[in-house]
Amino acid sequence: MSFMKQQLKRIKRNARLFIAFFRNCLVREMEFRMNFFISSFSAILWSVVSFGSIYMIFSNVESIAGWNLEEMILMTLVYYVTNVIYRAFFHSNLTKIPELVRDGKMDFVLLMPVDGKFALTTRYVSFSQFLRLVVFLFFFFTYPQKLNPDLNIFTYFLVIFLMAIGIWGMNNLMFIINAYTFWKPRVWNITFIGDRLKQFSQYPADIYSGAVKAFVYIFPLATYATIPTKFLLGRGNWQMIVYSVMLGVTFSLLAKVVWHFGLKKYEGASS
Amino acid sequence: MKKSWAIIKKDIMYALVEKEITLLWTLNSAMELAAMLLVWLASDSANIGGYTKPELLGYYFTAFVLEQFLGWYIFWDLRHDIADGTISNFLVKPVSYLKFVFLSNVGYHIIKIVLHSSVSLIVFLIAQGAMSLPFTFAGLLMILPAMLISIAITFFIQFAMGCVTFFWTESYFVADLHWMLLSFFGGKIFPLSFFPEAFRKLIDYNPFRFANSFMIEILYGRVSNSEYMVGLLVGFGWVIFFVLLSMFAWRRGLKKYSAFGG
Repeated sequence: MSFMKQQLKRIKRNARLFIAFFRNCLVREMEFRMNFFISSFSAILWSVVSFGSIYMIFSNVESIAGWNLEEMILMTLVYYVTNVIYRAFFHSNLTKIPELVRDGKMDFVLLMPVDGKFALTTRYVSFSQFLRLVVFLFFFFTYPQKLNPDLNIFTYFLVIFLMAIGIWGMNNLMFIINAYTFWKPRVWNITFIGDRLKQFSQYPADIYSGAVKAFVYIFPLATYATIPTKFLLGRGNWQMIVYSVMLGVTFSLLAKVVWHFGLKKYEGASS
Repeated sequence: MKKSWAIIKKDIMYALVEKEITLLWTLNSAMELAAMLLVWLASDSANIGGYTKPELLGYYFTAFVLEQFLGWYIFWDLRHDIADGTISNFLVKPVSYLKFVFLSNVGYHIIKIVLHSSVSLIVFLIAQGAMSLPFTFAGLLMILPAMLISIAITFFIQFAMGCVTFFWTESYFVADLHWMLLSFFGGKIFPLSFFPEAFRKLIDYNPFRFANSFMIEILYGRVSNSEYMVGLLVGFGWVIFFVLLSMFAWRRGLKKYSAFGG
């Protein structure tokens, strides 16, 4: 079978697997409807607090690193759309890695006749994020026009592509961080470091300078929200697109290498 | 005394054995501080909500230093013990669970203070030029009772939150709600002086102010002597409230609690 046909077959199989995971998670979520509604409400409340905080901060400052209130709201909106999608599809899977490694339950993932890394990162879907995603998407498609009347459908396609690249990069970065437990199984709180690192992508990369700025651009943090926001504001350029794609590919390869060497370290729970 | 020390020692030993876990918690807090300092360093305003920029940077640094004493996040211990049934061990033994949780956290805090202090010193040495820390000896003495109130409020709020697990094992949302309220109304994200004057009276009496912001306001001289005394009284009132709430939640929770096996 040709390489292309093999890859297509693999993609189709993974897509079917993901749909099965999705359905299973949906059934589970609907078994505990109260949990779903409370989690959704809690997620929305967090978003209200975040936007409220920005408003409170900007009622006391003119701008931060040249970003005014409207631009910061847009930045936060883009961050939340990206982050909510990441949290819905990947976050709970990646934060389970330390537990799976420590308890030896990774065996069940590795025994599956599918790509272990794919199964690991897509097994669970968090539906409590979907309600606020709908709200954010509404504002995502309406708010930017106030700041950039020249926005058109092609820019939106490009921004969505860049956000997908950003999520892909963040997914791989968080995988690498959580995979540290292959070497140190007892360090379960490494997942919090990943979340804290992601916090740096919540603010425009322009606020950082020196080593911190380099850090934000070496890791896929600026691609998460800053670069897509800049395109929405009409401040993007082709170099940012190339940089985002190359960084996404680099971290994807790095994640594969970490997975390969991590599995060699993994001891499992069975004899 | 011997029993108490044994419990404290247990958690000190755990923190020393699991060095990486303890270090990562410190790194986690330091990264949060770094993010806030960098955001405010980039602000273009000289006067921000009644604070100059150096004072504002000092505000977040002070909050970070105080966190090592004030951060009593026992909700997760309770949630884990109740959900897993481990709490049954305490219920059948002549050991006060409340005392056990308190003393365990004393042990953990001893290590946390050592690590946090090291990180605080490094941050201070790097950023001292950018920060204003106009502390006086009197101010440092005045925050001591406020810190005790803060620890009591945080401890008993978290204890009451943990008791929700008796009724609902998926009680994470309670921790989320607490963190939201503490962040917004406790001065973690921004100083409470950012709120419009119309809301200040209400904000000044909320319990989360006494869990975090009140001590920093004292150190920065934002509180007059009469406001200080009123603050201590209000804070003490909140302590009583949360102690009673915790006891009520604990007793009701125990009536509902059931465990199998063992």
